[in-house]
Amino acid sequence: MSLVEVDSAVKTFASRVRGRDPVRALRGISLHIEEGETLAVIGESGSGKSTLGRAVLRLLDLDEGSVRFDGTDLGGLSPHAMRAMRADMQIVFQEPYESLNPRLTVGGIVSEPLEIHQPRLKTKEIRRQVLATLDRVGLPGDAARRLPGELSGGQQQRVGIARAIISRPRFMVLDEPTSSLDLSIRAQILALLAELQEDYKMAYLFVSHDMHTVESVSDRIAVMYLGEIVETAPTSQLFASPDHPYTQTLLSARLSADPRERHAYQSYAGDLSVTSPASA
Amino acid sequence: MKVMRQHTGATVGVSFIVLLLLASLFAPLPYDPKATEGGASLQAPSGAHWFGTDGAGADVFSRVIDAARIDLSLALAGTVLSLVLGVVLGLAASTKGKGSERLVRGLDAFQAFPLLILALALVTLSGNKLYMVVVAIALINIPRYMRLLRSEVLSLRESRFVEAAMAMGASPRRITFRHLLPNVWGVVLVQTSLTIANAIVVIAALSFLGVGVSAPTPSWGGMIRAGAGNMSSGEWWIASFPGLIVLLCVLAFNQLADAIGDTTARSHR
Amino acid sequence: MSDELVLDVRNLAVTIDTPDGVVNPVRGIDLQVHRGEIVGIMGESGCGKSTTVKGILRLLGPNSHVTADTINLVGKADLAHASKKVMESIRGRHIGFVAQNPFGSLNPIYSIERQFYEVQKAHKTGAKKAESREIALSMLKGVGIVAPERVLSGYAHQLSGGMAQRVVIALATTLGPELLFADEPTTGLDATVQAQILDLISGLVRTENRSMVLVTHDLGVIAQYCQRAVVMYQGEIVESGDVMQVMVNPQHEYTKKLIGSVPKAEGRLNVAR
Ligand SMILES: Nc1ncnc2c1ncn2[C@@H]1O[C@H](COP(=O)(O)OP(=O)(O)OP(=O)(O)O)[C@@H](O)[C@H]1O
Ligand SMILES: Nc1ncnc2c1ncn2[C@@H]1O[C@H](COP(=O)(O)OP(=O)(O)OP(=O)(O)O)[C@@H](O)[C@H]1O
Ligand SMILES: [Mg+2]
Ligand SMILES: [Mg+2]
Repeated sequence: MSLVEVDSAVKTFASRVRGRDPVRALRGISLHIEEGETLAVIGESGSGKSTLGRAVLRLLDLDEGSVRFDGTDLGGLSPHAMRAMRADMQIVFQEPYESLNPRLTVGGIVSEPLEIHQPRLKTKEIRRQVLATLDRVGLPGDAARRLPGELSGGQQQRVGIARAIISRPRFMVLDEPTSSLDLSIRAQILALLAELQEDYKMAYLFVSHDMHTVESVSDRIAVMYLGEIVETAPTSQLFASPDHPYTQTLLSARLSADPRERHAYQSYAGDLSVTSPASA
Repeated sequence: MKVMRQHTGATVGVSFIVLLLLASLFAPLPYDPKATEGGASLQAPSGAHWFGTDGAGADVFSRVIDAARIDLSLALAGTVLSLVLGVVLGLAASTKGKGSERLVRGLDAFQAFPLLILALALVTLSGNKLYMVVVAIALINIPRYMRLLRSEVLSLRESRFVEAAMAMGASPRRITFRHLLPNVWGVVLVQTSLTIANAIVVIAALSFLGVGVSAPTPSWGGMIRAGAGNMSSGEWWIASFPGLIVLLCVLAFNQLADAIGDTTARSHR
Repeated sequence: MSDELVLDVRNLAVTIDTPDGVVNPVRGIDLQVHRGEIVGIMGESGCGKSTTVKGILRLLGPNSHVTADTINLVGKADLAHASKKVMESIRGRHIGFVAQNPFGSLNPIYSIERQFYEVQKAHKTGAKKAESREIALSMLKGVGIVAPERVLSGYAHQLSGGMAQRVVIALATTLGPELLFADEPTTGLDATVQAQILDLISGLVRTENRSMVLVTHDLGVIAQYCQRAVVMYQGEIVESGDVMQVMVNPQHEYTKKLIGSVPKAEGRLNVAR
């Protein structure tokens, strides 16, 4: 039995404007994630990756299909039972700032999972764990007293990560968790995630656009396209012989960090007059 | 306070209200506000009577100041009642279901009613009890708080950080007190300033119509009513000074509302 | 690229009042932007890149103070001393800004179409609603949005992260500003879409002699699209110059470390094409 099992998940967002087609964000997705495994999800912008992540954690209700966590059908749980279940699952949202309550200090934000699921912990112990966790994601201890708005983009992103890992959940959805981080801190965070996975057998659903990141963290990769999974393969196999055309273009579009290997990108120059009406 | 530093209008306004309140509570007034004899009646403003005297010979300045005590306390009491009940009921109504939508339609209907007339009727029927003035203010303002709370909370519920709290398994109570309420405080404070201003006007209107605070206790509305007849014969000061004070109080609380609104909007970015 | 200066910043510093005292996240910043060039700013998370950009644009919160010898938007105004009103007329029209947090710059209660129209209205371009819509549609197509009609009639919360980022880029460039500040504009986009957008903007820079300041963690973007690179470390600029020189032959210790941290899988990925 897998830790997470998604079976033919369908989610459609109705359009507000009458007459417009609804958005079919998930069109029958099935996947499974084992204990201690990282499944990376890649795919174009708007293909439904974040929607999938939220659906797996039952943060939105599916139109069809089911999600099982540790053998339990999440759709059948009462709100109360679902809340208890959430002790074992966490999420790092794609929008770092929006996912942090602007009125709470960083310390208050990061301590929340502990306060909710381990109510018997002493304040002092919570504080110790918060500081230790902030330190592990590379934030200074004085960050605990600050408000999210007083942090840089990458620091906010790490607060979200600290909040997710502090209670050592068995499963995490990580939605572009390192998009705002520079390479050295990104490496530090990825190493931390790997270590936690090792120590606690955590499973990750890891959404990312960055192929280096995906390659270094994932065991398997699922490629999404227009609400469907079009390809799933072990990481090394996908990198060696991508099947789907989208995967192929993705792999070829990497930019070299060496300015001597400049690509000639002249092909779009012809369209410019169209896209810049203000210059007309 | 940060709010004050950048808003001269609000600073002046709040100082004015505080001064008025302190004066009405503690300052020795130049004349007995309720004295109806002794002083000469209908005297124009002068060094001896800054705001002149009224038809009964009472000093208008002393009466205007003294009235602040009862008028402002009633306004504050009405506001506090509106605030507490409005926030509690508003929160309760902030769900997406059918019931809550029906409730909003009910509020619409209620607010379409001429509420001042309702207030007038209530106070009159109760036999002119002052607590009914407070109740009337609450009736007028609770729906406003409820709407405000509902729309703010509904949009906050859509926000990512509330979704994050749910993802953590936070209880509905925790979400309400830790995530929703702290984030509506700003607009609630703004609304509260506006409510006080509204309450001052309602109280003045009621006493102008002869209900609520009644003579000889001085009230701004009552004084305007008493002085209205003198306007045509040229004794403008009797009604004008209390009218001016009501206007200034309303302006002051509006300025305060603006200042609070600005500050909370900025720290919300 | 020409030698004509568009923006000349000298000795910019930002101080912020916090409950724990005054902090000084950026100091002594000198930044020159020429017509027709893209300047890349890089540096570790929290080193002061966004604060620098927001300081130049005077977009920092009420507890912050910006000081500078000059922030000369050549031929327009000294932003260091410009009034709020002047700043508002410059931002959006002459200087575009793509903030690091896309959702923060979208209005949650206006439709996207309305937000394009508001830009036109704010700068009194005289464009009618229908005209603004046409412009918006072509801008959105330009940044690779496949169903621009749907996006226009929708609201911010209905957008995916990468879609929001592109909407903000389109909004910031609607009026064709001659200078664009973009703070991590493509973090939520995959490499193909990123290339499409950067090609588009760098094409504009080249053909229309515009300029851009680009903040990014992606050294590939700096190497491929920027003419000059600026490296920040702990609130100061530690190295700046021609991108060839900075990236190929870095002088400062921090720059060396930064460039050394690029993953070495490059070769293997290139094989896949
Ligand atoms: N609440 C919503 N209402 C309407 N449409 C929505 C809503 N949330 C998402 N969508 C739509 O569903 C589709 C999938 O969105 P999703 O956020 O899952 O994409 P994504 O793969 O995460 O993209 P990105 O890489 O840009 O973050 C998009 O077309 C988006 O516009
Ligand atoms: N209002 C504030 N109060 C206190 N410190 C602040 C405030 N705003 C920013 N800082 C600090 O200033 C520093 C610079 O922040 P800035 O946002 O400019 O970083 P950045 O280089 O853009 O980083 P990132 O790449 O993570 O976005 C950070 O260490 C941040 O914590
Ligand atoms: Mg997404
Ligand atoms: Mg930044």
